Amino acid sequence: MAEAMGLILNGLSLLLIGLGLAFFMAGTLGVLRFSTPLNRLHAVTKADNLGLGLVVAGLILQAGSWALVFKYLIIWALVLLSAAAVSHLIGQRAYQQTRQTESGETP
Amino acid sequence: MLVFDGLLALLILGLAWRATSSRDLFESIVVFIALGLMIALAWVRLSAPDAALAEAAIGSGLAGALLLATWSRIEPQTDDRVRAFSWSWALVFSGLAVGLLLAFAQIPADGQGMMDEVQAHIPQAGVAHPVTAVLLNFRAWDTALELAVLAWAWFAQQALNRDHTPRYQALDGEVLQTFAKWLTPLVLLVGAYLLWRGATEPGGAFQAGAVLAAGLVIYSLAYQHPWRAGRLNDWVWRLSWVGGFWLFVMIGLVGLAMGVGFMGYPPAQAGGLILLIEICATLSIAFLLAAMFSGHRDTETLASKSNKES
Repeated sequence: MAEAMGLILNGLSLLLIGLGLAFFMAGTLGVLRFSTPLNRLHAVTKADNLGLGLVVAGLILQAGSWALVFKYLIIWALVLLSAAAVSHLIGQRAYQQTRQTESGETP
Repeated sequence: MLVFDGLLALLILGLAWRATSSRDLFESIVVFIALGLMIALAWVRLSAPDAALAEAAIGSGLAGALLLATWSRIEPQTDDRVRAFSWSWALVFSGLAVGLLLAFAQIPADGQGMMDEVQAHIPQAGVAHPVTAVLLNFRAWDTALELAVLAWAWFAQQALNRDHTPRYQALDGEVLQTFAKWLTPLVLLVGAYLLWRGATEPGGAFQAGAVLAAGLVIYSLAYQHPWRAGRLNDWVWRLSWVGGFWLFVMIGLVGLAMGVGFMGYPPAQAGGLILLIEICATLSIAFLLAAMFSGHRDTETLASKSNKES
């Protein structure tokens, strides 16, 4: 019974981490292929938020203690927070630049 | 894991090449930051978490911030010249590479290094973590000189860079300010934790100082001006900048007077003295690095200048 549980947990972990990696791949591809900064941000936030979230979820299933689970969640929350703030800054700058080019000003 | 290590090594070499060969200064800086993170990962793989923490926080994070701040203060530069191949430089660097390879080959494969001796003296060191024992006790002079180098770099930077602050981009909204406010308690907590933990596990003054400095840099970016903490006069700030080094040397002299040698501590007080030195060193490092990023000294003249401009 315990063996079967372990097997299921391992399978679930693999699935979640694999899915997370797929999001990272897609996000990276988006950063490389999309042309405008805003599109690129759109792509990379998927990797940051969902991709890392899935990887963390997969790792949590393997964590031996609640302390480790808590640490994984803190890491995810901190990355979410900094990614949101940095994306906002990059987006704001990109928006300012687009407006400047549209109105013909030199930046 | 061998595949991962191989890929990591290749990635590091590729990024290093890109950072030095890129024609665009901004691209070089960004690649350099990525390179620092990969090197930190390599230190983790080599089971050297102390070096990994320092590399990620200082080598990649703060050095990157300093490079970007410098980049924002100078004219954009792109090097379009055709690069000539120089035999003499190629020879010099090949010689260097051969020398490094020879040195690498001479490292004994099963080398314990000085680990046995360090472990034998840990009971007298005042701290339980071997890296901290070496940095703050057995080779304390090296660490004191590192602090002096940092202060020296700051003096040089002040001399060269009197009237410049980073060219802050105007911000809409208050997202970054809110972020900075939310982050501040956490930065203080992590900094204090790294400092305290340095006695028994990886961590220490440089890592803690770098984290605090990063918090100050974010603050300076969010509020768009060089950070100023209250109305402390210049003299107090100067003391905080060089205080880490001088306290270190003073305690070293006390050791000389007490007969345990220069930079030696009596084993009974070693733990407390190291903690005192580390607290002052952390503050020195944090303030020096942050002041290098945003400039501090000429705050008032700058404020009056920008008022005139606007």
